[in-house]
Amino acid sequence: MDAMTDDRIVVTGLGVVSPIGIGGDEFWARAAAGDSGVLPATRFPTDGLPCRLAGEVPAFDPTAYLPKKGLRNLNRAIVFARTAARTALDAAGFKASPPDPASTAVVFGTNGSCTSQMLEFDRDAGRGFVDPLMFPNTGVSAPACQISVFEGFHNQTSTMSSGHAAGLEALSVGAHILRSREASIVIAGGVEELCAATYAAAACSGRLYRDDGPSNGRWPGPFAGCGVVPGEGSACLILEREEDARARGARPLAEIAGAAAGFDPDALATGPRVEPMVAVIQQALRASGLEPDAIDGLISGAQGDPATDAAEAEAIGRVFGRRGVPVATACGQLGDAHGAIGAFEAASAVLAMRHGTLVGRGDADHPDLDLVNGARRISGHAYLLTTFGSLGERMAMVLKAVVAVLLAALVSAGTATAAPPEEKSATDVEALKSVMRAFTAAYENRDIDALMKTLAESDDLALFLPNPFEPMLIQGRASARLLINVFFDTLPPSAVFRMTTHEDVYEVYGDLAVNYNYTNIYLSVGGLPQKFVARTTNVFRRVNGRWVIVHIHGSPLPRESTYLTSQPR
Amino acid sequence: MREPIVITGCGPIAPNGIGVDTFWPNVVAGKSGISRIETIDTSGLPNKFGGEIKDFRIEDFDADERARDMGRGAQLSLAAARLAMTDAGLSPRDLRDATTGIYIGTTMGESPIAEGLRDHLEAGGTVAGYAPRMRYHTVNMMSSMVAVHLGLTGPASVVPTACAAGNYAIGYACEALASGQCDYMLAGGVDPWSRIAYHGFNAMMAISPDVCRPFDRHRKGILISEGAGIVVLERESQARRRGARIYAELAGYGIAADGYHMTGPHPEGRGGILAGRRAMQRARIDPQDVDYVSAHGTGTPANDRIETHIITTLLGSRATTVPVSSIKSMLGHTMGAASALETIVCARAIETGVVPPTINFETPDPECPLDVVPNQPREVRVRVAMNNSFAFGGNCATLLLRHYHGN
Repeated sequence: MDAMTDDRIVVTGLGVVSPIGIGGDEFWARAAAGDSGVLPATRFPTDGLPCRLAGEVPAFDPTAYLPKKGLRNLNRAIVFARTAARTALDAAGFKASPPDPASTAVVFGTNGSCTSQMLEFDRDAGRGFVDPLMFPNTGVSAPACQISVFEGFHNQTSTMSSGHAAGLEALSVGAHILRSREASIVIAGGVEELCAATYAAAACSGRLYRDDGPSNGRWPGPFAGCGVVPGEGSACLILEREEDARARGARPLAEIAGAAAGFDPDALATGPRVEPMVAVIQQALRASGLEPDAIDGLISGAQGDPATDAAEAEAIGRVFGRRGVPVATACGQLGDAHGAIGAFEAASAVLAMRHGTLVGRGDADHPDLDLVNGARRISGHAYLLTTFGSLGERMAMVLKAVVAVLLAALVSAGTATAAPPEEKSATDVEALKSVMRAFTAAYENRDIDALMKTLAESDDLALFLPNPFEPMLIQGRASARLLINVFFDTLPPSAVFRMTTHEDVYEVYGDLAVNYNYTNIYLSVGGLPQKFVARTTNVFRRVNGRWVIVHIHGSPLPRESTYLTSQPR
Repeated sequence: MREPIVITGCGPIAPNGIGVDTFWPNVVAGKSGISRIETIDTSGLPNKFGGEIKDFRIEDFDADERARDMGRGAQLSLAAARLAMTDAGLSPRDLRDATTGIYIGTTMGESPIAEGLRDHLEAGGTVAGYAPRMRYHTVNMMSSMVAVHLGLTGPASVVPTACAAGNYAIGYACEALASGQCDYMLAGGVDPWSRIAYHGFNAMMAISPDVCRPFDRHRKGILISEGAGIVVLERESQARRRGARIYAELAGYGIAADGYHMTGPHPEGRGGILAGRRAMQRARIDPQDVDYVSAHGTGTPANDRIETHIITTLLGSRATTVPVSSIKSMLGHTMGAASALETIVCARAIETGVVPPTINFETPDPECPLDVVPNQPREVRVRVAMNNSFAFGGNCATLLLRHYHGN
């Protein structure tokens, strides 16, 4: 229905309220340290039930994150969601300058966040008095709406309840809203809340981990074939179009590359089938334009349900080969946070890319899966997320790195000189700009010698240039000199060639640096002007104190793309 | 140019009629579905009337044994889906052989199952003893169970955006078809009879003591009801290829938020106006093209006043002459089902050239200077119909339906 743009949708911040910490930093630190939030339940009695573990969010003081005003009349799920949203907004750089309320949308995935409120409200009604202020909180959409109402965000709100898939579906709806260009910022996430009645309901399904074996309180986790532990919490991501994020100086942490959803109607009656899982994974990969080889890690929503996990393990094997991809599980440290788990997976993928480390926890040694147990160094730039639920809901999504994230991971993995990007100096940026000016001038003047001075001496020089006639892929200095000269020679002396850049961004990582921009290319040959726009990434290296270009990647945008005539916003 | 999305099947289950061939004539005739509430103890409360559907039995809908255990929300969903499917000339096999998804909007979800816990405890039971029933409470059961029963393989989701949810679900379904992801979409809204909703709206003093009279000067509030409305949506080319009856084109949807208050509308109708504008933009429809408005028209003083402002802002000088009716005058507020049932009304109005009345209308309200089609249906050539829905939490969604050019 919407004429979809090809905008890249990126994550610029994340926030969580989880059994192992609040906010992205605490969550990451404790996850990487191997903490587990799966412990004996404390908020409700489990006497008489065959299980007692839960991934509960410990009591916390919301006023540490939210203004005191407006916290009355909220239930736990709403407090989780509002806190996750607030910590995500802060992390995305909206602390000092709040987002434009007219351009900000809120989308959450959840299934049972209203249940305890409904039960409480009905109990009060039976006693003859109810609090009218609590009635709106009995609705499943209350978490998203309360964020919108409290913060005044009035672009649009939505809530998706697709069981285990709800978290990823909320992210997918959020990405769609951005591509339709109705909103500029989407707060997208998931939330669930446990209560005695929902825990008992899960217990009587026969799917829960019984905790009566030798492990004594330690859940072996998903893919161990021993059952599910219910969980709760909220994870939330800030989504924006890449160009908007860069224009406000925010750092894109990852890109939502593609997603796919489906349903397996046989899962309940005759058991989950492998094919629908394979189909959804393959559709998500196709939507992202990636081959299975390009996926560096998989974060699974597997819950511990033996049949569903077994089918998922087989599906992963069919797509990636036996032990063909590292697999971490989100539920392993959090319990099954149901409609929130997809959002937790996405948050974990963003953190994994940022830190060059994939974190998982599970005691199972699976014969066919390369399960991550602990913190494993992976300079991953593409993660597949899965949420395959027991009713038959199937969803997968691919998150991939934007170049800056990749560089950060390289730095973190020790393959580049470590330096926090925040320390970029104005001197460095000026030096980089001067290299780009020299490069552009040399190109426009067709001066091959001057051009070569801006390029690295080393053999790893690689240029992918959006030449208007035919893109040029160049490796090494000798090829650069030869091929660029050939291009210069094809232009008659009267030809006019001009390049201007827009929305330039520079990032410095120690001795590595990167510049992104949109490059307008204007070429007039024989009085026939042609105009192109390329999205360009330039990578620099500092050699003996001097910056040189080591890599250029210019992707021409479609011909009908707008030729940028204005200065950056 | 995007391929049009068309409505080819309608499955309404309303207090005044089950199935489009019963529901539509009753709506045109202004037949009320409101009766004295039987399943809630209303003693001590001023409001005794509501829209319970007393003759609904899942056994009448070719459902197997498993369906008897489901919540009433899932049962209504399955029944409405079957009605819509049959009305579209489709068999379960047709839906299974293609990629079919389902989006269902709701406000209270499986509220009766939550309410059953209190009754169980009052009768001396335990939380653990009620657990087998509680398993059916999670709201996504309403779409998942339909997918299980009909063998659907496309996405199955509940969109619980309260009383605008039916329109949300239908809007999202259009995207699933436009992207090529699905071949058929079952979409609409469902809400089973809810004691929690009855007590909640009562506590907010939003329920009328007698009848629902939208846009009337003496309107006193809503009436709680239950219902389900599901439509079959598909791309035009497929509908033509299989020779389907095309009710109307689903020309566009618009979703927006008030971001103002959890229960009250924004005083200037911010979300409703934006939803209408977005729908017109998507559908490429100008305000002067709108021939009929199916109002949200709940019958509360605030909603109807603000909605009048929204319609006036969107349609300008034509707002006072375009027919606007609220079938909530006959059905009460079926909540998540409301906008889906109203979509069916818009589709039939376009097809038949008749618009339903707003019943119980006696005294015009100077604050609502609209032509509300008082008490009698009217023949109107409807090329474009607008369907408004505004919900708690500020969720707003508007649909635009257009006469199908091939009819």
